Amino acid sequence: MQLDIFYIPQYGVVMPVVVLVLFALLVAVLSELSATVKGHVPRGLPDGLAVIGFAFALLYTYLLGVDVWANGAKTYVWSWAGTTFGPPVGVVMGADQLSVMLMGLFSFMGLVVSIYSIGYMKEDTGLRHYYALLLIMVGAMNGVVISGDLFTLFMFYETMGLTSFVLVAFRRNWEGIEAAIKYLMMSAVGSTLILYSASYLYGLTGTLNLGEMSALLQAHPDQPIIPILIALMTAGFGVKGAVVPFAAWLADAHPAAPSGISAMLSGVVIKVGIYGIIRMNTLLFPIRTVYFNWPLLIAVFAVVTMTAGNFWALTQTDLKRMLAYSSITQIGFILFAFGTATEFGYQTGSFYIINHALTKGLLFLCAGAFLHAIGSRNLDDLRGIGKKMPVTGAFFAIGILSLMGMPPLSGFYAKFLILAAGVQAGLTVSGYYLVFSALAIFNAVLALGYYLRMLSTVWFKPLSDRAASAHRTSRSMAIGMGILALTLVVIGIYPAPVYTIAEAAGSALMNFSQFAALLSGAP
Amino acid sequence: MQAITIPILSDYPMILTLLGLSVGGLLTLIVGSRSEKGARVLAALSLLGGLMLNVLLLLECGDSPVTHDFVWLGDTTNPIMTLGFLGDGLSAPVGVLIAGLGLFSVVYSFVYMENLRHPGLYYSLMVWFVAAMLGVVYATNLMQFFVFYELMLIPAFVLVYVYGVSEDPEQRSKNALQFWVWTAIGGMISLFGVFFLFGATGTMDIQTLYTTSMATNVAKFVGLMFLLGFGIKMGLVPLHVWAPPVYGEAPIPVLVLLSGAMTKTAAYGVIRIVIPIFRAVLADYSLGLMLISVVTMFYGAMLAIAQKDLKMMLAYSSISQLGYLMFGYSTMTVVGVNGAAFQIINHGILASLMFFCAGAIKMRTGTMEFDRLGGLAPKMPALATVFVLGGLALAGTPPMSAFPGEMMIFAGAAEVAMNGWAYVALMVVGVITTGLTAGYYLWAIRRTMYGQVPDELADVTDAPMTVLAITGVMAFFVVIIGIWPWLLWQYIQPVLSGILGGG
Repeated sequence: MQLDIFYIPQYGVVMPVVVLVLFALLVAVLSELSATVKGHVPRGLPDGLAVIGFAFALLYTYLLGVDVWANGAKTYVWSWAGTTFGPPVGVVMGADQLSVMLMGLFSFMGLVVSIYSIGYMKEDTGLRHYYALLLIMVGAMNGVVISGDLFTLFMFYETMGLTSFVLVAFRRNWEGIEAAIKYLMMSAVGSTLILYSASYLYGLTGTLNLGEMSALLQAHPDQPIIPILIALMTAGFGVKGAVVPFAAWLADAHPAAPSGISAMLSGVVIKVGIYGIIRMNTLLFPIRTVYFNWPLLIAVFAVVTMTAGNFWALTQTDLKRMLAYSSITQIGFILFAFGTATEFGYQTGSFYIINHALTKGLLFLCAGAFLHAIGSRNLDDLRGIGKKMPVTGAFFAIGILSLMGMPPLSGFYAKFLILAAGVQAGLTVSGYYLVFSALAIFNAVLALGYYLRMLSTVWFKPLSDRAASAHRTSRSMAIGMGILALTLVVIGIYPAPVYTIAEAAGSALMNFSQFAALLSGAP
Repeated sequence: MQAITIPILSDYPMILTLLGLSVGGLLTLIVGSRSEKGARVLAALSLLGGLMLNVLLLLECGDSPVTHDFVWLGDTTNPIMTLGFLGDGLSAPVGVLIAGLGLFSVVYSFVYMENLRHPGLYYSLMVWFVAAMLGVVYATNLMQFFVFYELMLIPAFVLVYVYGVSEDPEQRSKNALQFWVWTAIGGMISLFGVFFLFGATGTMDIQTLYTTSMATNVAKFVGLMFLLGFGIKMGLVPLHVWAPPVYGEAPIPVLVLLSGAMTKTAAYGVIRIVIPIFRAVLADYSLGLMLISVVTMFYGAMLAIAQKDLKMMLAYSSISQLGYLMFGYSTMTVVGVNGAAFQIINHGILASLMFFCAGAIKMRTGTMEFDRLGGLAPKMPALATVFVLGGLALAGTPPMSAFPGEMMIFAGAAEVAMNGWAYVALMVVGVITTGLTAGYYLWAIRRTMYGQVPDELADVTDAPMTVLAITGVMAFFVVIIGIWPWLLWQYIQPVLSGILGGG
């Protein structure tokens, strides 16, 4: 079947967003209609629509990817009734290889989580809200990574934040609401910082378009306010991106959310924050030596994040909390790769983004399966549960092994490549990176402490009383987890295809000048 | 030796070995859930196939090494990781050793491991363990080396954890986890060295690295990192602390693979990677390395004397013998390194032989403790013969295989002894340790095989035929290589002279 018939070249950039929003509307409308007509929403209607929606989004992202890889970055400018609203204040969307890679990742995770949620959310009500919000959230995430100007970026960013906030509190229990309010507060502060920085940038450059801004800032690199703007941007995006010291909301929000949403939060939502940091810094502020060395700053943040996440994780007794702190550590690793500001560093960082999203997604889904089976997330209650739920336990083991960096899983390559990039940066750019790399290795070894603890609790301890009553996972949950586990193993055995995608994404990030020109030159 | 060429098998022996073992392991796992016998047959067949392919490789590598290279990560202009297979005179004998030990361990398990829980799991793990070790030996580039090096840990860990001899699962899990953590740390340290090397030279291909030049202090740092990482796996004092609990925990067939094969992959790593690339710069540290080696030899020997049971004595003896290997390496002389390379094969065979005999004693008498054994020689004549042969060989007696190896190691030490009295002192301690080794082996033989027979052992019979066949074959090799070392030497020596320059 010719898939190209779906592709409309002019709208190719925005299709992944539009498709998801359309499907969200479809879910809402059809569910309301059937609720009015039949009196209740038919089982599987919102679920099925969400799965189909994500599948379409993935398809459109793939088609866009084929186009971008062949012809370079693409843009889309909003036009209405004949007038195009271009720079300086219009809506411009641009997709380069990094954007496409991220959109593919987000849609894929959305697809897997929808499949998983079919089984997981079976006992919940209001599923039409859940799936509609999930579709909008992923649509907004897609929108963030293709935004070419600060207004669009902020709009999509806030949409993503609001929908994720509601999803965290979805079950309306005390824990969820408290976590969601904490998350909202901190997220609002972060967004305010971004808004503040964006307004200053507008005042400084007279445009909101990222491409024009990039050219202008590069022409006048000695504006004294620029370091402050860098700091504000990084801090603002860092709240969502789980950078210490802005990451206090993670530990509550990720455990409290329904597990599919935890997987999305830890796997992809925090990547949007990282995207914000790296895109803003590479596109807008590619000036290193004038005031201070922002890559080095990011690397320092990264090392602090890694270490703090590790130490916090070591003492946890709640499985999902431990995984949330582990996410903080892994974000530290990713930021470290981007902090090297070398092409190899960007490439390996992109690969690690993919790897971590898949791995952490899998682990949270497994934790959700355990939670669903015995109603507890406590490690003591989970002792030996792998023996009762062998399939889920096996997937959990695959996830932990990948996180630890054992071959033949993708985590080995991801970790190896990041450390190689760090050492290479240390030898070619600045000796500080060698120290950071050593600290990264130290953290990787330290993390073994609680990874092995999780693994041994699930598999190697004698069965606890609560775990003895576990029931086997439902089929859709197993399929969801199985897809992710299979991906990890496949990438582990044959990493080349996915790594080439990450390579292209990293190079696109590094060689941004063409993309910037495209964004600003758009009519 | 004439090369026997069989069309496809001779062209791709290494790839076929790895494929065959992986698939064979999978089949063993699947079939084993129904029938233990099927699992045994499949595992033995896979390993037999692997062994034959490796022997084919050995026979043809004498003429020219067999190599294959596939780019796995990156592209042809900038390959980050390649999947490469190198079968030359150094990797082929080690490959034969590992495959052979795998086959023997599996066949030994037929009689030794009774009442196995999940026999399919056990046999498939043994097959996969061997496959991972072979992957290490065939590797042509550093990343591939470490992929398989880390991969080895998973089957080893599961084997020790599930099939360990301790009754208490907490104790088993403690020992097994400790093993994993130590070796994983060793792997990470070596990986740090690999990154450094990659950052400094831009390549991870081992053959290319032989001729790449790099800054001296970078080379020193990386060389020491590698030695540290490999030293943990080889069990050099004071990094050996993970070894005794694990050796005590593992059942004999698994122990043979751990001590006879896994430690040899680390030793192979030293001689393939560290010595050729860093020999010039590490010569400065030769004294320190020799000191560590001698301490390992001596400490291992002293602790071996103090052990009350045969298995732990042999375990500490293994640690001591690996000190010999490192001693040969640390002299950094051509003859010393050659001797150490020779000893890789010899020690692999001999240590495993002794472990098999100890297991046979346990099978027949129910114990390996010296206090409860004695006078078994008249009752188990065949086993006693191989046991005594092995003990004498490990003590360095000609005409058995360890003699030429040890002689070359000490010749290497004598060559550097010209450099100072410290070297002479270390060499003397080394020779004394050899005497100690002879001492505790002969004492062990005396205590188990000769003397008064305890009453409960009155109706002990000789070891099972399987065990006798296995140990007989191994003893045969020991004697043959001892009488005619050139059989093994013809493969190793050309490669080493090429790597080290000058024979």
